This record gives sequence, structure tokens and C-alpha cells, in this order.
Amino acid sequence: MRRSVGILASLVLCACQTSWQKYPMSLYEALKEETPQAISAHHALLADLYDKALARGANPKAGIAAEYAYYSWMLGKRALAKQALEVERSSYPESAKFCQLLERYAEGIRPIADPSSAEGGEQ
Amino acid sequence: MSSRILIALVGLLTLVSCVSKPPVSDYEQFYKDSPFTVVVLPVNNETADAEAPRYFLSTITQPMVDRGYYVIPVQATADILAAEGLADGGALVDVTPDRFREFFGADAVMYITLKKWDTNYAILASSVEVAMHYRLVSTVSGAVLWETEHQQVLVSQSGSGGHPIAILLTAAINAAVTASASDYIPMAMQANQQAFATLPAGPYSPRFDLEKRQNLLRQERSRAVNQ
Repeated sequence: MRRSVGILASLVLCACQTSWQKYPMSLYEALKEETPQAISAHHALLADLYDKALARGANPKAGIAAEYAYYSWMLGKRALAKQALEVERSSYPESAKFCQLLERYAEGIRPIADPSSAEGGEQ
Repeated sequence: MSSRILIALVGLLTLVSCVSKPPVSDYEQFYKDSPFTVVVLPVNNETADAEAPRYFLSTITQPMVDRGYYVIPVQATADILAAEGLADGGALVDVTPDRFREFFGADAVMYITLKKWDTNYAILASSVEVAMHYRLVSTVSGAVLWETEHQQVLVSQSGSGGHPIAILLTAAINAAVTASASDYIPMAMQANQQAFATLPAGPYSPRFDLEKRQNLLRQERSRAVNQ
């Protein structure tokens, strides 16, 4: 009973967190598991941070669009990756050199299957 | 047994410590080098846990971004460096900071050494401990601009008074507390929050201008007093 209350409290606490507050644990899971599911879950959290910022007319937090681009490449979503990288470059001009390096490196990545997409790849 | 007694049986204690040396020794140099685009290198591991450095990386970005810094995505950095044969912090010691400016466009390099990542199990008291050393080095001048060390210890203790049922109960609670804390990540996040609170605000923080003025003024006054 006590354990159930504890689990419930954790779930409520987790549900109240923003995507940014969830970010470290989401990245941790992606680094720990390295499974398509964990990578796809972190990609979804980055998408939420990215989309909500753009919808508000704001820049995504520093580095988030570049990370979203990287995870998009991992899932084979090349068009989305390139678009996110452009957002990063225009939002944070200091990222230009890194974006160039990332693009060069990511083009060689062999994508993993995206469990959230039936087609699994290019958008 | 009421929940009040249970709480009395198990005491949770979080201990935090940090070095007494000021994290920034020269604010003029700090603002001159403007170390605001940071590449965080794979963590140098001094613990027995081979996986700890990779997991620890997940806790770095958020507190630094919240302090107003541009942090180059940590996983992409680690993967790019691994592709170049530079997978761990130890292998990166010989790479000079200016190379990270050249390839990553970074103003500064964050070197982190993981010194403790331990759990000590005992029947009546258990502890989880993390300790990290942080060093921010300019890719312009090669100077160490910020340096600190933080340690976080979570101790679960019992005060059962020798009653056998209470001893068994507290042992079970201790085990549960230790198990839930054993992935260390929440503790590492707390230690990072405290460490990065001593890092001067970066340009994406609303406190940047104010802190810059205050830090430079404080240093100027301190020099005037010492002359």
C-alpha cells in the first residue's frame, strides 16, 4: 500500500514536470538504453521543446535544435534534421561551426528503425 | 506502526561539500575570453563504475543552459570524438584547447573528473556518494577560467533503539532507500546545480549584465584594498 502511494506520488510529480525538467532523465534513458524506443522517446521530448518554442515565436533553448537534428538523423528523418539545424544556426550564430561538423558527421550515420513511425524513416 | 514512528526510525541526511577556493580567480580574464560556447568533453573517470561517465553527461546540459551558456550537445560531441578515437576523458588530455575552437567553434572546454560514484551498503546505515571536479578552460588563452569541486552524500540512518522488529523494519527501509537512490542521477543533478550556481551568468541569462558589472566591480575593489 505504502509502496503504491510512493509510486503514485512519483507519477504525479513526473506528470507535473515540464519537458525541460524532464530533459536530463530523458537523455539519461537514451544514453543508458541506446534502444530505438529510448532514442525515439528522447526525440519526442526534443520535438516538444522545439515545436513549442517555435509556436511561441521564440528560439528553442540553446543547443536543443542541434540535438533534435542529431536525433532526427539517428531515426533517418533527414529533412527534419536539416530544418532543425537551420533553426539552430539562425537562432545561435555561434553554433555555425559545430552545425557544419555535425552535418558532416551525421551524414555518415546509419539510421536506426523508429518504433513510433510505421514508415520508420524519411519525412 | 504509525507513519510518524517510521519516519523517526529512518533519518535521511544529505551532505554537500565544495572546495573553499573561489571558482573564478580573475573576472577580467573571464569576461575578456567570454567562454560562453562550451564543449563538454567526455568525463574523466576515477571511479570503478565504467558506465558512470556516460550517464553523468546527461546531467550537465540543463544547469549550464539555465545559467545562460550555449552548450554543444553532449551526446553528439561524445560520438564525434569517439569516431576520432577520443572516446574517454583520459585520451583527451593531450588535445590542446585551441583545437576545440578550430573544430567545434567552442570558446571554452569543460573538463570534468568523476571522483566518486559509490554506494556503501550496511544494515542500519547506507550512503550514496557522488563527487565531481569541474574545470572550464578558455580555447582563446588556454587559461583556467572557472574551477570547482562538489560532493553530494545521501545517508540513510536508523534510530531503532535496539528493538528487533524495528531493526528489521529499518533495514528493509534502508535497502529500499538505497536502491531507489542507486542510479545517482538525481544526486549528480543536485551537485551540478550547486556547482554551476558559482559559474558567472552567461549571455543568455537575464542576470548577465548585472553579474558582470558586480563581479568586475568586486574584483576592482579587492585589488584596490590589496594595493
